[in-house]
Amino acid sequence: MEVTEAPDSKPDGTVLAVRDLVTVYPTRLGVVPAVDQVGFELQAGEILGIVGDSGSGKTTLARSLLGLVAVPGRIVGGEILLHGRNLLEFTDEEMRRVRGTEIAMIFQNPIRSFHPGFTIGRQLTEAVTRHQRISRREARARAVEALTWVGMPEPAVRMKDHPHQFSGGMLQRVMIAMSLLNEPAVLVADEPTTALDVTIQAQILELVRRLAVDRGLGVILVTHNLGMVASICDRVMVMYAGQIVEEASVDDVFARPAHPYTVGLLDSQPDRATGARLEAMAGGSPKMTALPPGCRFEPRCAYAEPQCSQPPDLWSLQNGQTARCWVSKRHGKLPALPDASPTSSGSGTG
Amino acid sequence: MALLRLDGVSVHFRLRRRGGGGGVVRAVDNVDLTINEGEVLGIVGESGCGKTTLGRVIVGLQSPTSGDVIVRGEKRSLRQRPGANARADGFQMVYQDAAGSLNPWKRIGWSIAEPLRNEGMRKPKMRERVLELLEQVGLPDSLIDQYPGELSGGQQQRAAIARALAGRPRLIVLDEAVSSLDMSTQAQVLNLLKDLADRHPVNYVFISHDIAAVDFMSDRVAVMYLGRIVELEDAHDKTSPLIHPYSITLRSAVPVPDPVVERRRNRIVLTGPVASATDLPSGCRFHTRCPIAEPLCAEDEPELVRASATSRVACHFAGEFDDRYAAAQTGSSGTAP
Repeated sequence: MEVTEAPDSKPDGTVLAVRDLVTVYPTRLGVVPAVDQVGFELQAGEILGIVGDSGSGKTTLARSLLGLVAVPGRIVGGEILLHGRNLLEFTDEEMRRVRGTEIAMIFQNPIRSFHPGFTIGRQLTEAVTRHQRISRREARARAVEALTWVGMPEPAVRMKDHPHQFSGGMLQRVMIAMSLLNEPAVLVADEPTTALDVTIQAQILELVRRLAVDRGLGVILVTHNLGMVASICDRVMVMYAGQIVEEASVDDVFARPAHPYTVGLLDSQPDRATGARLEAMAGGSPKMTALPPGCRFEPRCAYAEPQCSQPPDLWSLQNGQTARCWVSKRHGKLPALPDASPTSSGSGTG
Repeated sequence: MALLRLDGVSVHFRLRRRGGGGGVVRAVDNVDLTINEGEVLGIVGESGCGKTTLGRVIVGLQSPTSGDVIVRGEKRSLRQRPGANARADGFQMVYQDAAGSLNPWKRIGWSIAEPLRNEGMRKPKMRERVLELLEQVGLPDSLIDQYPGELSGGQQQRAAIARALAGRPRLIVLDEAVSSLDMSTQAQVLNLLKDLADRHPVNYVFISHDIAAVDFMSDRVAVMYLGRIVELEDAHDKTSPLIHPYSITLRSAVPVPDPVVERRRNRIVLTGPVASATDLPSGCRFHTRCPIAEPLCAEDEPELVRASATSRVACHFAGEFDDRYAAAQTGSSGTAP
């Protein structure tokens, strides 16, 4: 098995390292670990995809990185090291600075991320002056420049427009421009194109890819769209029920998935369907208040064996590929299923 | 005989704005379309192309402003009580937002039984039929007494499908019915829809922006752009691709879940401004964004005419995309972001 090296080697250096991060939400039925012992590293210029079903914890993870977990959720353990400094030890005021200048986030729905009553010029300018001691005139110039980075036609003119005067795709560009104003090292994008039309999606993805390559921006792309992952990500983390179940290069994940859940995700894609039916996974994600004691995917898993009633670790396989699975640990990879898969029943309880 | 035929159907909405002005939104503009017995028609297009409005006309929830709707050879009147004929014709609709289409204060069983109550079915028989429907859509019996809020998204959509099936419909219009579901759940529901179509004499109109899901479900595909059908197949064949420039760019824009394919592929990224349905471009509606547009395209609107053995296309240069696109790329190197 050979490692596929990207032809254009990217600027080196870890910008973000997360270790054993735990974010919990208290509920009536107990404390729920929405993000459970998650760890990863992000290099400059790298695009890391985080995929998983809704409720897998991918958005909570993204928000945790910026200290934006919705109350009553809170981070109860681990480290988030940005250029070596642990963000979890920062005060609220310090975090506010970090959010504006070193790590930025863009959200699914751009229209809800702007104040409807102010021009985008004013909002962009304020995002600069809030963090830097420069004149309004300079801040304005910076804002116009950021709009040109994201391919906004007539940026100086559009500065005078209000958010509702932009199309969804254009407003998402404004939001990306805003996130780049203070030249952050990390951009966290949570489903940035889900609300946009597919032809516009392609433009935004191309923009994000170029920013990573040209500016060495580290990007964390949270998405449920595997096509998008295949198209722009370098590495992928698959989340299931709060845990990372697989991490690998984008080529490895698609060519030789090592966790049965990843296999299930790939097989549910109509693009890859060859027959009259999709290989749908039976059932649905477990309730976070009633997690299986062992492997959390075990109840839906076609590979399950007695050992799976014990909780698996995230084990390294080869090429830096990791998987939280007893079966792939034992075989060094995920073997082919012995007989025709019993998972392909369409009458799950999803 | 065709199950349903649309003949020159248009739906125009008049806008009223403060301080005068306004305009007309041509949501659906002069569409001819036939739905044959026993087939799944896919309608694909982006937001604002009129695919939902067309779906509502098909099901009878929206009267066309002009044109004829002909159901099994019988013309439907232009002005009617919305929905009245839908029930009589056995047409149903399933929406994207399953949670929003189930009454949150009523148990699932009550919602599924709604079409049965409208038929005047008696209670004991009704419960039996609801249990039968739950089984058909792969839901456990116990859900009959639960509320929509207690169900997952996939279960809610299955319940909505069960309700649509209750009156033994001839046609179900599925409007982005799987778009809000998780990937694995989406696959389950798509399989369910296929199985149901195999077991029951029901037709689908499958409306989606997701060309992969449309490919998977459909026997024929119609591609819509700004109120018009720009490409219409007689038979869907994955090996003979769609040929209208918009169909081609639409397919090209969708990333495929395969990194090897993605790296190799030359994505066509549209640059021109998105046109609006209130202020339609002259000539071909797609010419403002079309990578191979010629001056002719701004003047003359192309008709939907046969362009290949399986497809009708509204384009002056149908079938010439590859050559013309290659020529256009070498002519003007460097593309706008």
